[in-house]
Amino acid sequence: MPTSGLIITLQPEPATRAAAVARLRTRPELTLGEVSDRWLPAALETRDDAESRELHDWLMAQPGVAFVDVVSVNFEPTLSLQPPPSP
Amino acid sequence: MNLPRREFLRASALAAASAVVAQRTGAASPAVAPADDIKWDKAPCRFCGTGCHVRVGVKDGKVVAIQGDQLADVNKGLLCVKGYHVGLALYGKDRLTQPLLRKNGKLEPISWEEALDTVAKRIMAAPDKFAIYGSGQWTIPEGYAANKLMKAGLSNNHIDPNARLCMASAVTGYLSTYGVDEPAGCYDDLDACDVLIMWGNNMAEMHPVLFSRVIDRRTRGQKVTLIDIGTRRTRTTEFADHYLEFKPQSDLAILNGIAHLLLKNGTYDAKFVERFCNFRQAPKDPAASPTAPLLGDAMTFDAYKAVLEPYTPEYVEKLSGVPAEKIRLLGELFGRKDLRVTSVWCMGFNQHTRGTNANRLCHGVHLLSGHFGKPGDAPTSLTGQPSACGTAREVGTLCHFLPGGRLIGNAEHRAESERLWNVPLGRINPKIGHHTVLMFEKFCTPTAQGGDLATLWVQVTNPGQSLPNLHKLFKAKQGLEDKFLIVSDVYQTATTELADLVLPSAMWVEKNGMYGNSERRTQQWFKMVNPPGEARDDCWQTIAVARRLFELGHPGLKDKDGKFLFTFKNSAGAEVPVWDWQRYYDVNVDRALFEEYRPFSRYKHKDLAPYDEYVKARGLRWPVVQQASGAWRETKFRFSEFDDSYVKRGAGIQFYHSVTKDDKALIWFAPYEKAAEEPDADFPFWLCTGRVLEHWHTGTMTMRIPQLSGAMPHAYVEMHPADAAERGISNGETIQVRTRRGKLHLPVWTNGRGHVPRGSLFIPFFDQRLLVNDLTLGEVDPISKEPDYKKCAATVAKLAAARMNTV
Repeated sequence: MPTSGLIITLQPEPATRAAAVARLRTRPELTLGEVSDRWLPAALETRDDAESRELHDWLMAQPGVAFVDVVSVNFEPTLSLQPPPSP
Repeated sequence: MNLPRREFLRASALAAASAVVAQRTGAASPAVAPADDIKWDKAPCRFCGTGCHVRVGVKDGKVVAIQGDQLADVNKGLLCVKGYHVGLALYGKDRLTQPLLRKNGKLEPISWEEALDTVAKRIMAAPDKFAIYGSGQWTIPEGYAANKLMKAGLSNNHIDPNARLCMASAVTGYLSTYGVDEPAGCYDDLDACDVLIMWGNNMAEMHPVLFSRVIDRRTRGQKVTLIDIGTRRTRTTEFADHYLEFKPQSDLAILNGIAHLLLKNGTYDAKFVERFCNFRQAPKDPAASPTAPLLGDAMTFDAYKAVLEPYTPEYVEKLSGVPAEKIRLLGELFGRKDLRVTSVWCMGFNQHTRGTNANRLCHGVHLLSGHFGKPGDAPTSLTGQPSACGTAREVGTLCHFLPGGRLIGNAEHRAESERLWNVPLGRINPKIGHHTVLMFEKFCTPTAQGGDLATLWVQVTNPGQSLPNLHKLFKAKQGLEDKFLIVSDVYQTATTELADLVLPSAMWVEKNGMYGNSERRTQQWFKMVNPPGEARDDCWQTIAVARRLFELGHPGLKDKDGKFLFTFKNSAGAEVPVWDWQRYYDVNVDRALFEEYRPFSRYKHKDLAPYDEYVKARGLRWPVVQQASGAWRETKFRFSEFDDSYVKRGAGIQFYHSVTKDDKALIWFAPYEKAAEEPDADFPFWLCTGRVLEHWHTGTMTMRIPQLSGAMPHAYVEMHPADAAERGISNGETIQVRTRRGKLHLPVWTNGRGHVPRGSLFIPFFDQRLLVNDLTLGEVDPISKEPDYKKCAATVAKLAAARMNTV
């Protein structure tokens, strides 16, 4: 269950921005904070890393989303797993 | 994981993101997530030279979480994909945990006592045939200790860092232009420029946090014109307003083309040039003295103008393939006084047989146009390693340097260093040591044939993967019975494969440390977790070996008062035997070494603050100068009166370490010259090597992080779809790539993340299983001695055809 903190940069146009936020609210993996200026803080919780990447790509593809920055990652649960074979 | 814990992690993540947003908008920070049993501390990221600060979360003796540090000017709370997984680099399952000695061809566990004795006896047997190969990942105290052991202790200058492979041409560029190394500007230029030119620099993937900083300005409605000048399309190109694709090696022609236009159009800054610049060209006799290539021969402004006369936009187009109107665009932008222009570069300039000249010419167009010395007007090289600047360059761990910008070849510099190190006059050997390529060439050459190095100690780097032309410069060591390779590292690597002795090291927050990033920012962190098993700090390893040498009676390990070179005292004034691992952390060895090193920094005005100032800060940019109030003030813009306290009042700009001793910088002319190896009928492709977003350098850390290795699991060869189609090669098909040095089988990627033009190939170097440096050239820049990894001639073949040719 990787958990990361995101900053989603929204496009300036109000209607596009509102529609984007509404779409993001439909994803249960995302917990959204308050929009401030053009930034939306969010927490992303996914089953695994593949789903994290998928969600990240989905976010980037949404109209009204200009950029997605990651500001934190908690990999505490990952540490209990065996790392994959080394190269 | 139970539900409250999950809710806590989610709340923490949201709080971290909200805090960054609050900082950006100037609002009050939101309430932080409830207290937890995670303990947080600050550290610079372990990976690249950007120098982002991270908050490291530790629980039960392990790093469990990473956040971007909102208090850090460099990254303002943001991190890249590598940065936010940096904590996992500690936890690959194959961490080295005990010393290993090769016995009957196999690495067998031994005790630290035996390991230290083995190293010390090898050195004692032939001190002048011993070398240390270090790193831009050495912490500052680690590099300082190794440098002191070699130069002040063993009177041996055979020490060089891997920064020779990446930054040496930037060093010679700065030295020969301003008389002193490292950029005048800083990352603040990225916030102020109107035009950002990325010279062969895929900033979006290699310095993503800095790139985000620029892109963020666009989302705020600011106009920043991005110009990507490169030999292949990358992620950076997707954001660029202009993409100028040039033929490999021809960047020299483009830079001369800009200078030509500035002169022809009369748009150069005549006042700036007259007050602050002299002109130079390559010396007629570069062998006249060791410094001759850096000093050059003087030329007049008229002579400079005359040699640039041929570089018309049309001629430059012919040489470079860049359309003449794009050359004119560059000339116009540099000619405008109402714009601020920043240039950034990295390996695209440096890893070049004319790397020094590419650096010089870039500085030259900034000086000629007056786009220098104001926020947003700067030529700035970016570094690839976290302390290429702080350790390799500033501490002076290159084979011709002494700390603080002093030179081995200068008698006064040696005497001053001997005084600061408290060793007898004459202790430092006046002969320059072997630079990296020569060091490995000598180590891999049989002793009877002139291979004058017998024992080589590699610390914090992986030359078995990163050196060019590996067959000649690394693999040839195999079978040379009298050669002994010692490797200190955290994982098994391509280098440990040939090691005779492997020493397990602590890494990153398993030890105290200090780094210096690309913008002259010195950073500090404390140890947060214990290293695994018997892994120990690299600095301790150096001091423990030095102590063994002292005990064996090597005279160089005594200072002029007869004391051991690495003597440390606790706050009560009692000596602490830090060479005993159990006592190593009884004093802060980093603080002691850094305070010993600080006085060296004054000579070239690279003044460092006391250690404790860095404990409080997220790094400080030198020169850090003490104010009347007692406070320590960093310098953002060097040589500019408005910010640099070393500039004389009224001077405006002062190059106070000027090569010509008249406070002026040098504008160099260097002609376009052909590459050392170019495609021909047998090897029709250009081969370029480089990096990818997910992996850092040779991948020893990032390939062990599942999130990163999963996203980019193996190396590949980028090929133009038309070149592939012409040869019946499909996307994803494994092919053979061959050069005059070696061959490699790897999958083709057409229209992937990067896009090479026709006739070009690109292979990243992160994959230990697919060593692209078996293929690379090994030719070096004659001034910086940095190898060219960006250009050599190659050919490709389908595997069936390659097998038939082999038969």
